[in-house]
Amino acid sequence: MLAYLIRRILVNIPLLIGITFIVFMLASMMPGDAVLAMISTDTPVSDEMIKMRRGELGLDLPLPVQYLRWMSNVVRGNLGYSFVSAESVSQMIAIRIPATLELMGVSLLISIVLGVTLGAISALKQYSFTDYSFTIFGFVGISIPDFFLGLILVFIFAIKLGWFPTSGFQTAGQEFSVFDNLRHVFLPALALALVRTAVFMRYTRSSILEVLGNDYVRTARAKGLKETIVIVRHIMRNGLIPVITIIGISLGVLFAGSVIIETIFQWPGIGMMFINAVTGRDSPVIMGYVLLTAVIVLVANLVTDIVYSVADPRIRYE
Amino acid sequence: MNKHYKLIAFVALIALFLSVACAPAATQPTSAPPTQAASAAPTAAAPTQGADTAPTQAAATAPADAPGATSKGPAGVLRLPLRPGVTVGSLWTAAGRHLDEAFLSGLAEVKWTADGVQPMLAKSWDMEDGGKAFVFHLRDDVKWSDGKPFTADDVLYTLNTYANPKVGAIHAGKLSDIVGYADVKDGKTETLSGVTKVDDHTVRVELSTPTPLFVELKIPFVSILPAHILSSVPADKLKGNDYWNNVVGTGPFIMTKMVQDQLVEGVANPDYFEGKPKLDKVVYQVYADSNTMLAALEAGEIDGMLFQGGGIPVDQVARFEALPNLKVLGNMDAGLPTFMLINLNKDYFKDVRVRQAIMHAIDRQTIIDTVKLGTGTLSNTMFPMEWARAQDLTDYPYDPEKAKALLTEAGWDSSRKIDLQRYYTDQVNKDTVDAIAAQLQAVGINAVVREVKSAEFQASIDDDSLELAYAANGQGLDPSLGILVTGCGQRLSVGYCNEEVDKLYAEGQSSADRAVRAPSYQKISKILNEELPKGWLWWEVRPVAFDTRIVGLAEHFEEQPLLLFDIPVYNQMHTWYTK
Amino acid sequence: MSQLLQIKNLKVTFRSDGALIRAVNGISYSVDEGESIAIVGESGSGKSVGVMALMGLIPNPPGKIESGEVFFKGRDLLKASSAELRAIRGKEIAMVFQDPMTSLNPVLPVGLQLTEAIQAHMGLDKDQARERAIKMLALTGLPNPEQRIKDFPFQFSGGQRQRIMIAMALVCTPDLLIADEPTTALDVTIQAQIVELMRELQSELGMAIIWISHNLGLVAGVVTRVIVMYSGFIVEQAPVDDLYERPLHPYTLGLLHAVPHVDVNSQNRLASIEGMPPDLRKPISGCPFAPRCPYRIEKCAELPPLFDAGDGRQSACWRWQELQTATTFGETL
Repeated sequence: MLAYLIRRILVNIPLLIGITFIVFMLASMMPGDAVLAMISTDTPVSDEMIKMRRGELGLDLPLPVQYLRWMSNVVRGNLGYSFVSAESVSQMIAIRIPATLELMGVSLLISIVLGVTLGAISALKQYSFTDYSFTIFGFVGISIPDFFLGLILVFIFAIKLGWFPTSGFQTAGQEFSVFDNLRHVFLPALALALVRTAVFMRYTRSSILEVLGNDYVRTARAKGLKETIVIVRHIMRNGLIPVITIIGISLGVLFAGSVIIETIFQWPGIGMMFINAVTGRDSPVIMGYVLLTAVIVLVANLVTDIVYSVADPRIRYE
Repeated sequence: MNKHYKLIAFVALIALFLSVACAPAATQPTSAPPTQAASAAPTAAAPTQGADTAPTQAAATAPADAPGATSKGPAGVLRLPLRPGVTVGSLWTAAGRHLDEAFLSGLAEVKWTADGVQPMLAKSWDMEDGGKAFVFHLRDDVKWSDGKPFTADDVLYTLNTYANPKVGAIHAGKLSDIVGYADVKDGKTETLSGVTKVDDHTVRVELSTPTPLFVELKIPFVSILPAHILSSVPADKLKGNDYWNNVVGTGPFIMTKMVQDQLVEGVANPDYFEGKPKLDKVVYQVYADSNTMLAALEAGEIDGMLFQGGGIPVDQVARFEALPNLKVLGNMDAGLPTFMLINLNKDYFKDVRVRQAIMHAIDRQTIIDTVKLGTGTLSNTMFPMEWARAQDLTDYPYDPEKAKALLTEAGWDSSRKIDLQRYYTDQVNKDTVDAIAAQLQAVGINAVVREVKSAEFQASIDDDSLELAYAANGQGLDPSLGILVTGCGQRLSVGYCNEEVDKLYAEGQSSADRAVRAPSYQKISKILNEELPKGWLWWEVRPVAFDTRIVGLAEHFEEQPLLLFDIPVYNQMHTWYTK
Repeated sequence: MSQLLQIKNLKVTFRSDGALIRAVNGISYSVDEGESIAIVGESGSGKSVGVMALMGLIPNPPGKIESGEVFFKGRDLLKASSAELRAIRGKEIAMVFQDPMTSLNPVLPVGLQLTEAIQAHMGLDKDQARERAIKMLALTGLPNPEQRIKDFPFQFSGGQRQRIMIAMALVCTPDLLIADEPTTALDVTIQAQIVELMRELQSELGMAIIWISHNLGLVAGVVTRVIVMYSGFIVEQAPVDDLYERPLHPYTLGLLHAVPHVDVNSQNRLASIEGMPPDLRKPISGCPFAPRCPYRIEKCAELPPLFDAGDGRQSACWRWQELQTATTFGETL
């Protein structure tokens, strides 16, 4: 097992290099750069000034050189400084990550718990009215984009009814209170959660349906076991193994945040930081974000595989 | 039996879904994938582009009979929005220098009535030799928010810092008239030789050419910084310094909390030199998406709307007028001439007849009346102020036949595809540019609209790939700003150069007396009107709205004849209070 | 020997895509204590459905027990509550299934799969249950049961897994063991071992066995009586030797002659029954085997009853008497 882990980790390193290099190249191919993104037609800046600023930021170097500069800083633990605000990138991420974790954590928790439960019920009560209505909800949920749902929620609950704030992390001007913060996270988390619940529900449902048809379920019943034991120990114990995959994938999403929802709700997470960085061509921030999420995803995959092997004894690594 | 259940329930749910989905999407056809930039005017601050999604506009254009929110803001607290990219610090941001209005002061600031400057940290100044030197007499009763006294050292430090290229200040060029600026720019020294400290409360500034309007046009771009805190910070480390998270200033408010690109809070400064503010607190919240800002305004979470980034889209003004707690200024003159930006480096645009044809092809009045819902006024010049315009400007009325004739004369190749760039993303501007493109095509100019983000647009100017663009820029402060877009060698002149125009601009700055200056600008406007380096279209409005619970806020904007972009405006913020 | 199980006129249907499938069409038979019988037939004959119905394992929907009575130790199982059925299943009636790989839960240790049955029915504590499980595994010939109860099904061979299944079924010493094609998924040599094992277990534990198979030859050595099913009907019932020597139904005759013999000249074609098994969705009209039967007459348009042929034999053919002299399938009588 240890050898397997080491192998996996070693394989991930060239993967990370590849990912970051490709992203770097793609980002650099976008027209314009950080300096041009900062000026506007209202503040005419001389060409000299532009050239000088470019030089300071190292934007006049050939692309591979810029990439290597960035990489050499990274291996020394330095993610660089934002071209736009000169803040340290690691600082920027550290400040914003908790908000993203809160939003994604709440929504994922809701969607996993709700989705798996509804999916399981739906599968066990196949062909019933419950099943059909859950199925319809599932189709609708998968079809609605989460930002659209978010806008509808804002329109109804924040603007018309005024039950919740339209945006933000907390009410400005007030001291931070957990209740106030929860009021703010509710709508964006709900927008994200409803859509994901539908996805998880469909996934769980089909997984459990597949298990339901298996012979060992029939055997369990033939042994005269109580139905609860049949459901929990035989159906769920097998049917929920794929849910591990769901959770594993979700970990990546957990850290990456939802760019669109964070922007609509002005939620100060790293998703919003990322999109602002892309528009502003803020290369260090873009790369910092990509590196972070790539690492998280790779780690999450590894953890998922390990948990999988614990849950399903047929899978063992050496 | 089961089958019928399924069908009925399915149909019912679909119907429910459609009715909910269609209600908010009332008037606007939703278009485009959700990765478009916010409606970013070039006047908005640089790295401001948050992701504005087309569907957000759909949701935002709800029927105007909305019940709306009643004012529920806290007493004594003013809550204003900000665009992103501002909190980094005023030296590096172009737009929204509202933070400076609250926390920092300049030697003099432009009055909100747009007719001069208000002495601030400089209580008075003397002009020598018709503008070759200025002596500023500083107030002696001003303290920084950390208690230290404000002195001439701060002024020297600030001017040197603004000029220093290592700092990267956007408005460094405003100080280019000061003696010694060239040496600082080339890195030979870090101090301007033309700025001298006479005593603790007197500063002398020498200029290389007489500039009578130095105080009116240049000084307001500078906010004075504390030397005792910042002089030890190396110039290239100034940006990103922790000072900007805890600004120590001389303004009416003291910064208490700063979360970069999220919010800024400040409390009243009891020692403010104009008197303690009546408000207790001021809060700025950053909104990356202008529709989120509008939603917050509608829900009563902020007390006003920014004009940067577009203000309230004209097609949504009615929605806000319906709210009882808001005062809506629907026809606020933005001082913003909108024009067709034409790349005169391209051979096919060099013939003035082609540019005239462009003007005759566009039916400006109809566009104003229909697409722009009657807002805005036709213009043939870029000077917003009457006194700077010539009386006998050529109008270029809508005349597609004439346009075609001109094009034929000029030998225009109508098969050539012309790239027409647009960076505004709100629906009204989208429709406007589409209309313009259609009208150009109708006369044989094959214009194809392309939406771009700011960075791309700027890049196209640099690499000369720009052909046509729909643009605007703020000219409200003074006509002398026009040189930045029509002067020789200026980036935004995009190939236009007329030595005589440059001379006239220089003449225009030779006096502070409007009567003396006016003829120069009138001549300029006439020349530009005939040479058409840009196709001036109309004046824009920027509807804004303010919560009436803040007494003084809306009133101040009502007295403002036109919006002033880019500089802090003296607006007696310390006199505002909540009802 | 008293009657342990008596099935009377059992009818089972399934609903599939709107069609009604008549899986079991009124079968009746009985099993005595300690007796071992076989139910043979091809796929679709209803042999598995019949026993699943008596176990209460038919899912409803889509299946439905239309009518009939199933008396087990005097009680009609079809009228019992699900709790009562659960108490009987695994304890008094146990089942062994065809494919031991899929019939065992892949993620649970085999020991647990035995002890959960014990603990559901016998009220023993954990250690006692464990002991009993080990004993049972030893009885079924599994080597090293003490170590191996923590292992998972995929760690065993096919034959071993079937032994585990059998141990699992017998762990509460049921009165009746139903084995649904228990050797079909195994190699031939292993098949023989399992058959032998079942014989030993029966003589040791004394339970009755219903052995379901499509392989006539296999069951010959284990059971005393054979029931032949076709298309949801019982077509013949006889003591095993009598059936093989002198079948009294054309279908049985055809089956026996379809079995390839080692000494047959390899150039002869394999004898087979022409035609296809009937579509169970069609309503019953006449003898179900008639379309494929070389002996059919006009009377076969009427469904034949199950005639008593004496000596404990039954046949559902109008011409059963004439068949007594038939030696090959298809000759004229």
